[in-house]
Amino acid sequence: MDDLATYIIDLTQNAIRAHAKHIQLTMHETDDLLSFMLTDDGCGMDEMTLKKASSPYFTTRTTRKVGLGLSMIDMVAKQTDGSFMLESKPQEGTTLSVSFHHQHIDMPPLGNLGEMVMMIAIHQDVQDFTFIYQKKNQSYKFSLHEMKNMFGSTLHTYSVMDAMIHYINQEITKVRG
Amino acid sequence: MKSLEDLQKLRDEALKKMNIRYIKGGYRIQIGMGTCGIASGAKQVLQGFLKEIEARNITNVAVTQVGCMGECAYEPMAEIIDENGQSFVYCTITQPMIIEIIESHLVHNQPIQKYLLANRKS
Repeated sequence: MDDLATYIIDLTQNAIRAHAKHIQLTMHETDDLLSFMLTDDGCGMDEMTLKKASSPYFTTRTTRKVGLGLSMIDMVAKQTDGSFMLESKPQEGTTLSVSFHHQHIDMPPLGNLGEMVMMIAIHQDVQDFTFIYQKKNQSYKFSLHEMKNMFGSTLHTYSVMDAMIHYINQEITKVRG
Repeated sequence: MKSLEDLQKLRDEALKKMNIRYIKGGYRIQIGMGTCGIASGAKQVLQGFLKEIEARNITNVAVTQVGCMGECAYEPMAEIIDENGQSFVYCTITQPMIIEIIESHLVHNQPIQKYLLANRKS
């Protein structure tokens, strides 16, 4: 994987597998830090699972023996002198907080955030999803609930999706300045 | 312990979900979007299918995302399930292959054998 947006799409799969009803992704940018917080209200993890969750040799899946999503983002955060924190409570949900020094030479590119938001939004098992991008006193918010009211099932068509990707990227660019 | 009513409720909910996801008389395409799939280009494959289906105005197809399909070395993969529930798993998909698969399998109901996981693995 070569950009942050792709890493985040992958991480949301964990929330989807945890049967989350609502997923929230908040990205926050300052002059030297870029952080994101991914919160879900899924089935959560007990303490034992939580300890092992970021190990590449741990997965709850039965189709293969490795679990790379969390371990890779942990590695990216560490290589940019950032931080990685995973909190979870069974039956309550999970919060993943990751930060990066975005001027660091090992910082991956941000990638296509609009595409990331829409990829998560059109997943058939995502019921509600909120995305917020903040920088200084500016912010952009995407609410899947509002988008579903506006577009209905047409949200899943290529033309609407493509238009939304452009719109979201344009709004994020405004926030980032 | 669950009562009979609980079980009936569960069944009704499952049926509702199935009705939403399955389009009668059509195809369902499931794109593997696990870590392995995404790293191999599943995003582009998903968009490729949606784009081509809309361009050809094909209406009896539902494109959905699923997690890891268990054959990471053969990603990106797409499983096409027909109205009889028969499954065809296409692997190591590229953009030109998407056009071929839609033309042959979805339009003319002729699965492309050489692109199927079962034939590529052996």
